Amino acid sequence: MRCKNDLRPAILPLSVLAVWVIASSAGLTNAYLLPSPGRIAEAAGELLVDGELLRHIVASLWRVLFGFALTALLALPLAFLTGIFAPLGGYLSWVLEALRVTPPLALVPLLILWLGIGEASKLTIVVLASFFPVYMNALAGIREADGKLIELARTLDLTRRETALHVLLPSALPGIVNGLRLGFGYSWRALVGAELVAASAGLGYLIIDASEMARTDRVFVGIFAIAALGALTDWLFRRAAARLMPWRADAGRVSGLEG
Amino acid sequence: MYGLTITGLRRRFDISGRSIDALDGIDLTIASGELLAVVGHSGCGKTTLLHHVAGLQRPDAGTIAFEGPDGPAASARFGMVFQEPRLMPWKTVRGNLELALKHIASGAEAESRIADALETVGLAAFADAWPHQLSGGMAQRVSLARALCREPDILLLDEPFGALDALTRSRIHGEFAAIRLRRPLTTILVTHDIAEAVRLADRVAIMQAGRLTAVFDIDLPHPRPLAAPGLAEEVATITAAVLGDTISQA
Ligand SMILES: Nc1ncnc2c1ncn2[C@@H]1O[C@H](COP(=O)(O)OP(=O)(O)O)[C@@H](O)[C@H]1O
Ligand SMILES: [Mg+2]
Repeated sequence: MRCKNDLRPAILPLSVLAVWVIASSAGLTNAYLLPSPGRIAEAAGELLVDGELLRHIVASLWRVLFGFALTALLALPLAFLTGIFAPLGGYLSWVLEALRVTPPLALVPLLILWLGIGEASKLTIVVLASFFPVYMNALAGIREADGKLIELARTLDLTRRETALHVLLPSALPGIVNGLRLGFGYSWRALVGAELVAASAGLGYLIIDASEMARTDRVFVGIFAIAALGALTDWLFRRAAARLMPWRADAGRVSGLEG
Repeated sequence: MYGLTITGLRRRFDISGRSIDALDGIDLTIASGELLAVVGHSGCGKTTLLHHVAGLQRPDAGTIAFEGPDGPAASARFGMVFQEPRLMPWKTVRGNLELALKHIASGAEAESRIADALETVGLAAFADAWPHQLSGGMAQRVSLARALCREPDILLLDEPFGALDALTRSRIHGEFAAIRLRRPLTTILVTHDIAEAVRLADRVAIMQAGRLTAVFDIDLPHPRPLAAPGLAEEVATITAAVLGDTISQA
């Protein structure tokens, strides 16, 4: 059970923070391995003031959003095509399956070789990481459309187009939204991984750069920024889902197939 | 409003190697404006018959001919109530009815039809409700309203009142009979409630294993409250006919 003002999720992080503050002010921690929360806040302040943090956040967010939009443009129409014309899915199945089980980061060296270390390789990583959850969840949603409702649509003399719009699309919507949400999380993770390897901006780059300069405090700032942005976008997704599917009492908590 | 003639209708299903004649040569004529009730044990083919009339399934053999006001017609506009409500969960009650009027009415005309139909089934206050907010009986009444608002040529009802509580059912019977008195509507009503069949129908057909084994004319005047003279006798006669051998062996 969770209600609006439930504070239980805050207990663990706040306790960890308290122990952390106490341990570091008592001098029990190595300031290089684990800087104090105060030191990390200071570092965050510096990075905010000189605009560096914002620059890296914008670089990462831009890549994720742009790559993710590409994914949606590719995966959703393909899911509708294979969902409606089942034989097409047969032709694609081996290729899709092989790509699905290959971690996108394994392709980074090849992508750098082909596309260089510019934006193209990072966008490709984002697309590869998010394509499958989006595609597979949307496809499952379309396939799960209730045959009885399609039958009903026929007795109402609805055309194929109207049936797709009023029956198939809304039944697939929970799957689509859930796939987009999962895919967004995946692309966010893969992007940071790619930025660790090859980039000159972005939160992944911020972390690896700070680590090479022995600025562990800045490493923590990068990690927290990634976590906060991930949680924020996920929350936005759930809000949008609830808006988009007012008929689902549990719309904010969609879950299901993972890609 | 249409009449229809069913001739030699056959449909066989194969269920794990065993053949079942769900429709084993059905011959049936329903006059324009008539209400025919079909009663029979579950699995005797009632739903299959309705689906064939609605064109949802194709027969192995036989024909269904429609007769409209202007002569023979290839098909007709149906209003169908399935055994379960089948409301689109992503549309409100009004949205579900609007969808049913897609090629029939729009704007103010659609609004007034929707209001009338919901009024008829006693759910005028629920136009903006989501299906998941309705009880099973309410959802089934919405589904009846959806069929009625289309002003269909032929109304096909598959045990539409089975899920309703006895009080609601009795009230709906009265209202439904009244609707048909105001405006006759060619109807096939599948039910396993024989009292319901006798209260509403002009004729009651008994179906057994894919065949129509008997047809009874019900000549009682409307309205037909449960206590109407002669009603209990009709119910007893038809019940005996449905139970058939069970009774004679007892
Ligand atoms: N799609 C189907 N596939 C196989 N068998 C079916 C199918 N639909 C109906 N049947 C069979 O046909 C018979 C009649 O079914 P149905 O018309 O649903 O009966 P009723 O509505 O009278 O209870 C049953 O034996 C059922 O198992
Ligand atoms: Mg049935």
